[in-house]
Amino acid sequence: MAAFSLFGLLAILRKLKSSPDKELRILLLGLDNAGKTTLLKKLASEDVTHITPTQGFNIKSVQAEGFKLNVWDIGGQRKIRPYWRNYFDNTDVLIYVIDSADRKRMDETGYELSELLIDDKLVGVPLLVFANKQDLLHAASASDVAQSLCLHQIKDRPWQIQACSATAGEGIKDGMEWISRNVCRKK
Amino acid sequence: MGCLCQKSKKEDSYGASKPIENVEYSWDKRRSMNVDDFIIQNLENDEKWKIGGTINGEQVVIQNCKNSSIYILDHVNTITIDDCVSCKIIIGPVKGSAFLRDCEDCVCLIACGQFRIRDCRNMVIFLSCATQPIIESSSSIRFGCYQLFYPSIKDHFKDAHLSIFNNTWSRIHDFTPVEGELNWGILPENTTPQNYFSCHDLSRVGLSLSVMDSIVPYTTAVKMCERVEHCFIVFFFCEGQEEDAARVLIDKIYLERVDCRLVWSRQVELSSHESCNIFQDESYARLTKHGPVIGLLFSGPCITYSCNQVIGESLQHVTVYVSDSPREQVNKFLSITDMRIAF
Repeated sequence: MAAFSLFGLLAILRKLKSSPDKELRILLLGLDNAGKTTLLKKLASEDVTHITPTQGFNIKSVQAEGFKLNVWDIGGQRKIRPYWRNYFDNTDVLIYVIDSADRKRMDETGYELSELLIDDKLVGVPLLVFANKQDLLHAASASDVAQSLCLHQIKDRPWQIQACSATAGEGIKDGMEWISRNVCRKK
Repeated sequence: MGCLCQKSKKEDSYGASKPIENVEYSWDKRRSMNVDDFIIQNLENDEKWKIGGTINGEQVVIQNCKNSSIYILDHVNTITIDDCVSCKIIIGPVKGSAFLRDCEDCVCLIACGQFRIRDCRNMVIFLSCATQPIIESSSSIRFGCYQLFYPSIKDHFKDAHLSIFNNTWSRIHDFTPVEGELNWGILPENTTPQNYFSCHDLSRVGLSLSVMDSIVPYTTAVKMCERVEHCFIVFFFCEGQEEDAARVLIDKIYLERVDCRLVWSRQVELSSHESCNIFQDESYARLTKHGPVIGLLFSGPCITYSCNQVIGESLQHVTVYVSDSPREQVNKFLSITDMRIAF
């Protein structure tokens, strides 16, 4: 599996004719233990061996040739979910991360996503759902996750579900390519 | 992977785009296993053993058990323990997260990369955790230091990519603190796993809960205090011999100096810049470039003298650094190691 970095994503963006000339703000949300920080660190080609549960938020920012890519990773504990909204402004892409192997909380994650999708500040924002932790034995397939979350009912924005394993770095590149295609088309 | 949505003309440009075809991921090629072998559920007044090789680094789910004992003596990828009441659970090294939800009155021995607990009450956790443990919406959670040995445990720690020296079991973060009371606490030092598990039954399979046998060194939760003498020691990488040497020192101090404590231990790689910063001397970079160092902080009266004595008598074959200004160096060393785990 080839390592994929934010620079890799920039290379993809650069190839497109309608390149965005402004800051691209990516919001990374999902329940606690979904793998958001692991995904963020993997995007930045950093070591993911020991990651502590996020207490506030993490930001990774990369700047190159007129592009600025800001990825915001916000902690997912139930207690701090009401604060997610503070980060919604000017979001270009929403990445929602799901622990596909946590069957007990599939309804909970579906509920939180549905709350995001009806929020005024996120109207029309493209949605990429990562069905993470596919490497785990009890993981639900991406299509099963899509079904549990009724993703097919989403009609008001471009969306995609992508199977991935953030720890192994698999599937991330495919998801990010979808973002580059869909976001740039809009700009 | 992708989804085809029902399209109407108006919505043509929205909804999921085309699935990405012809992509085969590693999980598509995984050999099929009986998933039920990796779920322990609905036990009542029962006992369940999973010995080495039966889990072999896969995910485990424990749920809905009552008054039961569960022993998983193998390395595990990740584990969730849900809706269990009055259970005793011993688990080998977990590479990723151990997540406990909706449990009550359980005693757990867990070593893991991440520890998370939510909606639990009255739990006793003997923990080894590589990152800061967190609790949410839970009460009466008491923590102690992980103490466990069984024949393959050393290999299982390696398989799980966990260092026995990186244990931050007592640095709990509570997401939902309640004013005026504490949702969690540290067990008294004399409360050990042996108070909760029947050692006689366990010793039949070579399992031990004693401090001397434990793969994870016993560390105290007591913070560095001005009045007490401290000794900061660094073992430089020596093809693995430094791990055994550090252990010899820890055991000797434990046995011979009952008034002294190992405050913490860390195993970490140092860049030449970091090495220079800690030791204030460029020459140490030659020693730190070969592999991770082990840092130990002891406390107690005349502890530096005792450490030097053990090193002089038994540890001449490895390169050891004994600090003469512990406080300053400890702060530097901890700020570097904590950066690694605190993101």
